[in-house]
Amino acid sequence: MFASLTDSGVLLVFALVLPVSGMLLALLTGGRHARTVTLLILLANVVVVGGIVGGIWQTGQAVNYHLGGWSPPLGIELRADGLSGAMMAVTALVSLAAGLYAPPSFRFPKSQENRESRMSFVFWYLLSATVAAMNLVFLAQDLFTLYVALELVAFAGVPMVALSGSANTLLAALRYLIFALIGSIFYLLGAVLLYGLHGTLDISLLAGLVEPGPSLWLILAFMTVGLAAKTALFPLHIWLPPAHAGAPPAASALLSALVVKASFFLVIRLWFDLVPGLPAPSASQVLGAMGAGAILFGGVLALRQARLKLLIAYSTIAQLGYLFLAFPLAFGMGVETDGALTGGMFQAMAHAFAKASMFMAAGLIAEAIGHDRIADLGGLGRVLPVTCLAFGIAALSLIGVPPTGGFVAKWLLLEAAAISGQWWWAVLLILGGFLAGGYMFRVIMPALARDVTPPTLIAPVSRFREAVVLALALAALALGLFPEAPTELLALGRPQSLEILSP
Amino acid sequence: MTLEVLQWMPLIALVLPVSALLASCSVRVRRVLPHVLWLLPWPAVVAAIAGLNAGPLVISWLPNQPMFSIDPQGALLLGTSALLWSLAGFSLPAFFPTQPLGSRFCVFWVLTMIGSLGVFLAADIFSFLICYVLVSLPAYVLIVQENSQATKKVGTIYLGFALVGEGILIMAFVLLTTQAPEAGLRISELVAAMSQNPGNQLTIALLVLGFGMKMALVPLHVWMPLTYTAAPIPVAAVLSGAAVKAGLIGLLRFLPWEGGMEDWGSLLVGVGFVGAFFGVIVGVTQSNPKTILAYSSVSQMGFLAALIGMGLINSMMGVAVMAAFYAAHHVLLKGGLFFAVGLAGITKKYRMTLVLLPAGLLGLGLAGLPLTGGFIAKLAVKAPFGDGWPAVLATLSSAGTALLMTHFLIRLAKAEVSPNTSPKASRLQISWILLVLACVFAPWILLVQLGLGSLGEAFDVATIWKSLWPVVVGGAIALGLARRGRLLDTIPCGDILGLFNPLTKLASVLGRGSERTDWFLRQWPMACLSFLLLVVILTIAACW
Repeated sequence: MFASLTDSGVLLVFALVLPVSGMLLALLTGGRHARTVTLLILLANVVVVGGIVGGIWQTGQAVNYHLGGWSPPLGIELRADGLSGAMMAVTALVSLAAGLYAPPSFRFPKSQENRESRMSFVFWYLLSATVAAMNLVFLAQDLFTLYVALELVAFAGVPMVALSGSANTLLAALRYLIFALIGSIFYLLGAVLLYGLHGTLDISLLAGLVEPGPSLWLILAFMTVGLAAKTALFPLHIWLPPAHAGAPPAASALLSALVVKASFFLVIRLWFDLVPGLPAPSASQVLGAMGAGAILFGGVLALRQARLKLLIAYSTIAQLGYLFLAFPLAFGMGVETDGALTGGMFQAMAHAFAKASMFMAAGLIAEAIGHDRIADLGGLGRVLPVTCLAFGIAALSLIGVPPTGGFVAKWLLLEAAAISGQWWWAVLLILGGFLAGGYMFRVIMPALARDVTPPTLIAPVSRFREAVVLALALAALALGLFPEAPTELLALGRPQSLEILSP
Repeated sequence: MTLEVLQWMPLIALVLPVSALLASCSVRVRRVLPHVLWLLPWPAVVAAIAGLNAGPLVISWLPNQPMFSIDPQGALLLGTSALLWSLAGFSLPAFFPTQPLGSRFCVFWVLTMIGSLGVFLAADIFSFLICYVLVSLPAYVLIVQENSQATKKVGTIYLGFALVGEGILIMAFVLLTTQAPEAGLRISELVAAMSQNPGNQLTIALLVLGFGMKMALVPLHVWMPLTYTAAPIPVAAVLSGAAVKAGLIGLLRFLPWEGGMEDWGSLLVGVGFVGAFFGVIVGVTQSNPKTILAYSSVSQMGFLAALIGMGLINSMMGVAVMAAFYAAHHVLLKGGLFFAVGLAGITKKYRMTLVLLPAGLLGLGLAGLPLTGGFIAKLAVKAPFGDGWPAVLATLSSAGTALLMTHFLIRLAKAEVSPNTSPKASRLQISWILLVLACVFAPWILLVQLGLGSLGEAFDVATIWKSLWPVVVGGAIALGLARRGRLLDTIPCGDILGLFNPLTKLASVLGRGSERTDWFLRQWPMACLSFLLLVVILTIAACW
């Protein structure tokens, strides 16, 4: 058993080294070959993550690795439990899909005069960087390494917003940067205070040391708010729509599907791993209320957008709100329900696939017909059937229509609400579904319309890119058709209460 | 047939439509699809016949895996619905003479068909939910065939109702499973567990609300007249005949029949009879035959709800089969009447009697015209209403139906004939004749098969008289009203739709408010302040 653990333990290091070496290799080979290198690295990353998930699945326990053989108080531990494994798998697949989708948008210029190839190089570089940073977020176990990981995520995310270099996107990137900075500072403040109080940064050690009291709650509040800003939780969401709507489609997909989930994952780590025994019911209700604000506010604003990419961006705000319902549903009534965490994480996974598919589909639409005005999408289904099919499936998952991944997530959250008797969150979940139905059908209905002259195609659509978009949507559907395995995986290797509560 | 084969029947029923759907990924198959639509539901007809007398046939692989079963109530609705889907599919070309059927239309037709047949077979909540979604959402595409502002609005209303109903049902199902975590996913076991649970009132309320929306119980009926008026005739036929029965089978499967449901029963009886008469009253003021038929559906679904309510009050398990029997007749009949509207549009004036006579037989049959199929259906459901005021109301509703149906016939006779007849009209005529025959004769056979009544009773003079006079009275009133013609078009289609206007106003106010809030939060001072405020609020809340 020890041997098999260390085997997959080494894989954890690979999961970090691979994307980083991808970045270095891309630097060496330059823009001309950055694409090939990155795609190979992303493919290898899928294999490595597959090995890690397989290890967790086989042993039923977390996989861990102590860097340099030093155990936590002195050294750094990498650890992958079910949550990390699942998120890493989603990251690997979505980033690979983005990599496969992206090439036509970031082609290396062929002409001799125009040697400017910033976009064609930087995108691939940032893609590897995002994967490296995300993997570190999922694997690191101490607050400082996590801080570094968070910064890396932001450093990879901000330039992605500004890839096109236009004034609007620069402004959006700057706003994002400032929010990310304030968030980092809040988080760092909390981490430093915790170190000052307890002399360690390791999460599992801290979990045994922290005691409830105003100081701990203040620390936790700072860290949570900082992370919430990076996740664009209402009312700190205002940087997200221009940033995600302005980026190139492949980048938008990464930002919306993955990058915002990194900071959410840390909030989960804090609340479920650092202070699991000390539930703060009212504080979790506050988090839930922010989530509720996001769902309602994001939904209503998505209904009022005139452009497709902005609609999708506002829908991201609403969908991120569901993630934070996991907190009141898990801790709200003093009883911990394990379904809430699973539901929240399931939502994160399903949303990642669906939203990535949706942003990429929007990208294809915009390229094919030259605009993304919702009012002029009538009859689109006839000229871009596969893209519209993918968009439709992704939309059904976001609405939460069975049998999609989004439905399973909502079902788990609703179940937790019913068990803990918090009916108000159940009402909100259902209401959010109606809003999502409203804004999604705003796009789907005209696309399906008959007897409308469809928009003229100004550019052909690549079959391969359509297939990538459809594959992502089908992944969101598959999560709903086969929910057992991911649900089980999420619960594996969890240290405390979750396993006690499950039958 | 051996039991082995019979066990597979629930799956065999769906095998053709599902494989057609999967195969339609290929363009070549999609091109053939319009021609084979009528073939796809036939295995379901076979399965229904096999399942009618074989007792519940269950198929499942593993615990917590999809489960399908056929029981008598399911078999009745499955067989008739499949027949209607097939005939409607066969007649489709007659309705779209100028342009060939789009393959997308056909794919959504198949999707809706799978859902419509699947709800009668699903034995676990997730299969049921998926089929329920399929019978609700894809139908949108079938309804919105005409590109007009009005049709789009109707489509939106239809989708809104479908989504809201879906959400309510999901909540109800979540409550069902959490209240009885050990019961698994089987509908029958969950319902049995629920009836023992004292805290089940909310669950039942949600179930009645959700399925009531699909059945168009008043006041949740608004979508139905709008939808059937806007949809093409064959679509309206399958929706009003087959698809609405998804709500009915939901009520039959999910409500506990063992007792303790007196209050809910009374509520259903009340709501049901209100709907039964409301449909008639509003229906008589309509001039479009399709709208009249839609209001007749509202009325009939109300009658069925009242029937179920009576069964719940008296905890009569047998009422489930009776209701399914009555509804199965309605499946064929409503489909047939919509076909009549289609035929009337392409039949020359001098041959109109050929349409009107059978249509009259069907329509007045619904009211219980002696010796028709409808007469048998009414006969089978007589017992639950007892002898008191419910029986009086039931008789009055028969008179109401006769009134509405006579009004329908009058309007049908005045229908405009389109100048160019469809080249494929013969397909419609064949389907129509088959449906009329099925409507008139199938109930007789099924009545004996299921043992719901005896032929001796059907030929009893007293019974015939009791069933005849409401038809005569209702018909006479309708003729009298038609002579005056003052009522026509006094109530708009979708009657109480206006009540929703404040909601749309509220929505736009909320939307503008949200936009203003977004702008406010976007200001830097406000953004920075919200960081600090949130920290303070979180800390205070945690220390609480």
